Amino acid sequence: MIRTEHLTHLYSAGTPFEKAAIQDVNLEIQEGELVGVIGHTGSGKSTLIQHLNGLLKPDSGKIYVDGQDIWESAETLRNTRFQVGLVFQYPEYQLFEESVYKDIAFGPANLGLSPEEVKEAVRRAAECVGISESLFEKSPFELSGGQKRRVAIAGVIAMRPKVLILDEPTAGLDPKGRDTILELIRSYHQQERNTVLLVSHSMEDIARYSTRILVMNQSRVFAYGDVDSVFSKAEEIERIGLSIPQVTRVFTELARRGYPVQPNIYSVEAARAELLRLMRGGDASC
Amino acid sequence: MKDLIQFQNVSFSYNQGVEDTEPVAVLHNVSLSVQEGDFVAVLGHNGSGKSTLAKHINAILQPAEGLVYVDGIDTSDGELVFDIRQRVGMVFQNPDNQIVATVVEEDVAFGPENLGVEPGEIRKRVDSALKDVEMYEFREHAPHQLSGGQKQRVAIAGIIAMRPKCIVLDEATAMLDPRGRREVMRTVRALNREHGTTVVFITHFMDEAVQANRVVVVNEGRILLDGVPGQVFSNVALLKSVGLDVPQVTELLYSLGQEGFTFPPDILTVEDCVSQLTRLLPQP
Repeated sequence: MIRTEHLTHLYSAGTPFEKAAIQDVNLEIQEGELVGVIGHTGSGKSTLIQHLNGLLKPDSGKIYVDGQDIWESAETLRNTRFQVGLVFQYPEYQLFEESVYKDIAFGPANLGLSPEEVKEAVRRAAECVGISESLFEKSPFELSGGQKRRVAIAGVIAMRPKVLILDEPTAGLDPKGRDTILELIRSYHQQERNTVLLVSHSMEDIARYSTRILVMNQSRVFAYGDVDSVFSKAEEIERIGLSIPQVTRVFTELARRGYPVQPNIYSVEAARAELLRLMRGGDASC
Repeated sequence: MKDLIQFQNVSFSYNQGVEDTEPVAVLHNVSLSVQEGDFVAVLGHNGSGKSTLAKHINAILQPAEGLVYVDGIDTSDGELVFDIRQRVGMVFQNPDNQIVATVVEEDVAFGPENLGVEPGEIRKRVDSALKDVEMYEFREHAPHQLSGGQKQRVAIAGIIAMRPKCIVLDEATAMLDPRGRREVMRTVRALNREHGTTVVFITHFMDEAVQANRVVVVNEGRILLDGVPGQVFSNVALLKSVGLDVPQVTELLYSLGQEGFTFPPDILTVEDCVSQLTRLLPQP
């Protein structure tokens, strides 16, 4: 679905302050994956995702969406912007319309859909994020913080993008708000079967929701693969200063001490099942 | 140790006495005291009342009922607001909203300047505050070039330069990345340890709360739990029911406990969890 070849982007190119934000990034993201993207601030992850819908132009390298070089012509670039929906950090700051309905409808209306089609797109998107129709005529600014964020996400979902990219959609939320947003992303992904990129600072959330993980470090791809293969590098990931879920560290330590534990444990549920199996003497049915 | 902060049966509502609106009750009969030199984490979901509680500590808000004392001063005495704010400094959530100057050291000097501190003394305080937060080498930088964690440390330095007895951080790490969060936490812990500054640390992150001496959980405007971290987090089911997290290892041992295995309820760290598990697992 998305492919990058030797993607490099420099900031302040040609000045003494020149600095590579991303360097030689080669990625292939299959249709239908939910890719968790993690890395320090400054690791290049935001720069990378802004290339995927053509907001930033690479200094060298290529980006293909659905097999199409996105920078081939003005038209391919325009198409990319509709195909790849990007939800920025704190998207609620970008709400601007006078009603919730109009705000969500802004994108689909610009796609040139008929009023009926726009209405249907808005209804579906709102349902997806759990915003009830009774809120449609309200000003988005009257809503709670969590609701605002969901309306802002609906505005992107309403364009039915083939790829949805969310940059830290849970930043600043409390644990409950965080779980609500992540669950709705998961159900959206399962329903639409499209491609989703989820940027997060929480390895726990990434491990829980993703099918693949991309770890960025110092403007390069540090690791990319399915959850198990990335977590098999848990110690290296800790070394670059990213935190590994507590239960994963418990199991790494148990394995180091020679206990016959499965290495791929990232969640409390999996840890519990694995420990019960061992403590009850290998009876896997427990 | 003496109590620096005292809440006596405090209730508070927003829109109290505003025409055509219903008052929204936020705090209900809260009593709480914080000892001088303590490090208290306050947890609670959005809307639980924890920020409202914090704003009572430096007299941004006054209680509708009950009393709040800071260092023996009644916060509802309008004449003494500046005496209170000199004793309690606040750091807020958004690092971009609390920097006022265009140079780091000028920003840190803003507080003491307004207190009428002598210029020579300001210079000393600014330098030592910036050293305390490990931002001295950035003293001539422009704040917009700093990371979020660095900006929050500058905000903290601006408060230290006023020499308060207490710092209240209201979700000061919510918008930071893990590295920035660690920097802020390390800075605040050092202030508490080395200068005896009292810290009230409001957060959603339980990995930060476990580092405090004491954890207070606020829910629906009331204090739900109050104790040392191990004690508070042992209430796994209760905390989850009010939408809060507990450390993964605490939750893991709790869930094994429900299967009939016995563990101490106050395990918070990976090391302690491993030693508990190796006690029960068949030897390799």
